[in-house]
Amino acid sequence: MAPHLRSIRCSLMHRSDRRLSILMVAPAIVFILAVFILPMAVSLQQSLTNLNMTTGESAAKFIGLKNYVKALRDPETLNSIWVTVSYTAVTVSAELVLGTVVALVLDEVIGFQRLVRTTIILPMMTSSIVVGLIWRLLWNADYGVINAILQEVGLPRPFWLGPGLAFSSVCLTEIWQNTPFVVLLVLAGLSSLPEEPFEAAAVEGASYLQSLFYITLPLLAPVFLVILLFRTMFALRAIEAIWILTSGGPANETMVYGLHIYREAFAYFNTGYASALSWILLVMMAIFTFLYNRALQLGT
Amino acid sequence: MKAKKAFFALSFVLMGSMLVSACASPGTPTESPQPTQAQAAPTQAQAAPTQAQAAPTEGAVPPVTIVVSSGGFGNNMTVGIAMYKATYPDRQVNMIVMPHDSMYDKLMTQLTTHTGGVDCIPVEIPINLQTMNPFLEPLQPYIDKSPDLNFGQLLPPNIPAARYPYPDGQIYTIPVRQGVDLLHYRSDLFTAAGVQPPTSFEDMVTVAQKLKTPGLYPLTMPLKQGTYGVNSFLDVYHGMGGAGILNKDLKQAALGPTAVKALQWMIDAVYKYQIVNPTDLNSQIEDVFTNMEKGRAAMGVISSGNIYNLDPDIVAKGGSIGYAELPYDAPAAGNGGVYWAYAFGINKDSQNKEGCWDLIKYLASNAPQVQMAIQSGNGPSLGTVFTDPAYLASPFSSAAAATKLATTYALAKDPSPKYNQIVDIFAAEESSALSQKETAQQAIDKATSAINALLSGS
Repeated sequence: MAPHLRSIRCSLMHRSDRRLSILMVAPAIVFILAVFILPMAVSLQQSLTNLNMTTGESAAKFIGLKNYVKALRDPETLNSIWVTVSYTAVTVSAELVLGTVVALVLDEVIGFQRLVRTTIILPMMTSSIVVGLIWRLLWNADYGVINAILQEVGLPRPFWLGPGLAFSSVCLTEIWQNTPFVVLLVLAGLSSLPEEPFEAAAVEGASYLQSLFYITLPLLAPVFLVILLFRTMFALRAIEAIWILTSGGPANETMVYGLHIYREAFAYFNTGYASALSWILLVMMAIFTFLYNRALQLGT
Repeated sequence: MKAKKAFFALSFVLMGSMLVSACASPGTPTESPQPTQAQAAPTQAQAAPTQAQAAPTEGAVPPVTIVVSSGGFGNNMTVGIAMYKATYPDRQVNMIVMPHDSMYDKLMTQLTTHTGGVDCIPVEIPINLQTMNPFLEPLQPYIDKSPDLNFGQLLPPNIPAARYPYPDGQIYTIPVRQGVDLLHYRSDLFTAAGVQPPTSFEDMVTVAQKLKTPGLYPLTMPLKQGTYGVNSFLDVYHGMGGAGILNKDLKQAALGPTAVKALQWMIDAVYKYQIVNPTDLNSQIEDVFTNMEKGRAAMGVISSGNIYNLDPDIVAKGGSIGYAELPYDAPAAGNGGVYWAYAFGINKDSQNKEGCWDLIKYLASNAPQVQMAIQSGNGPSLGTVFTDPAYLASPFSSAAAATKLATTYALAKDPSPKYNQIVDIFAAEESSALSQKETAQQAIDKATSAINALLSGS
């Protein structure tokens, strides 16, 4: 075939390939638009109105940014943001440290690795509602197992879900449930570390701790950042276990932002306001994601 | 190239099938499969009802879908619905059970989006009727053609509560289950201590302190931040002469010195008199039942519609439960605590309104009301149950006298469309005061200010 005809034929084949490719991914794009983009657009539109589901869309009026201004001035909203940020900071830090320690220990375990690893991840596999129910019984001040053990050893029996301790108790519950996630990711990271730096360090006479702090942890930095990103996003949205344990009390000590949004949307049906609160949460999560990604890029 | 095409083809098939399945099942948030028999074809009875509906209608009878909540309500209605099916074997009923705590949320989501297939809607009256009424059928036309239903025989608080606007608007619901608050007490412990059920709040403290022993708290109340905590406050508040959280026109908070006095009494009960276990600050109603069942408390403030069983070991040692009116101080003339009721209304979008009416009318009639009370401890909404020989012969009738008395004095929750928000605002301040983070006066002042701001729309 003549060269110019060959190139036309190639170009036509590329064009038809491209059309075929677009056709093949079209359902995925439609799905994403329908399930993700469109609801977000509707939610954004609703956040600019005073929509209440009990009075319906016909009664809703455009109010601009009033919902956002109200949210940022509302003491309840500000309290829930503070509680959520504190909850996230405490639980994510604790999970990262504890999960890393457990992963380092598990990495050294020789026998029963699979059994140990399966047992370790059980809390993560349990539904948050079930976790809340289990821990509500465990934390019970009068007949919970924890206080029963404390009583046996002669220690006082705290009111775990009462004033002053409720926040710590819900944090501990979250840490118990989600540390296995950190363990799994760190274990995966440890198994992919190159051996050469450790061999070189051994040759130089470095101790275990020196290897850990100067080689292992720095090499695991990208893994830590991924863990921080995921755990932060999930902790910012936590609701279920906290609802079961304390319903946000006592005195709003554990009223996290997610619960606050839930009440506005589904107890009071203030859909417009709840949408604005949701967008504020989205912005918060986007800021955290941006910061973590920057840190990741700088690290690599 | 071939692999690339194969990959795209596979993703096309997967995404396409997901899209098709998402479009094909709009999804209803109900918890049971939808009825399979078509409900669209109206029966003859729906077209022009002219006679009483007691007799089965001729021809095919479409099934009725009714929602109940888990727990006591669901258990009670199961008895009544089983009787209905036994009485009318040709009528099908599809009962959907929703978790109690989220039933209102789920129903409102269904009603506002018109996505449900539910015919008979449960409504907590009067509070939830304020928001649910636009989605319900007015019932007067149905009542007018049903001489077998005597609306006037309902217990007095039910009559205004079933209406919107409260108390003398149109009838939208028929009550089938009612509760008022009683003092449940261990009559054996009272006899041993030589005391009688307290009649005033001062008496309550005196009696409680005589009953105090290691491992036994004299009084148990649900004080967890939320609806139950607020109900406990209202029990004390009503007994001290307070009315509602809101004033009569529902436009402002009405929490004055009596509210401060009631909240202070609750704080003192925990910390000063130490007659209430501090751990009750996280107690829900189930915890109060457990405390009574297991003999950890001598008295409990519990709704009459809730029944529990004493631990058999305690019964074997002579343990028994008595029921009395809650204590009260002047100017209150009695104290029935908080009145609540569950009623059924007909969904405006229902395809089987007559079938639903048949069912709810039946559930509110004497025979099922008696059996629901006897078999599952339902709090009857019908006054005639309290004089029925079968009911009086049952163990549940031991609470009958106290319940009837309490019904006279019980006060309904404020019938405001924003009641849920008002309760949450008050619950947070109440919890703060009970946690000793602020005084009773500070809590009431902050609650008043926040509630007024909510009601004024600012």
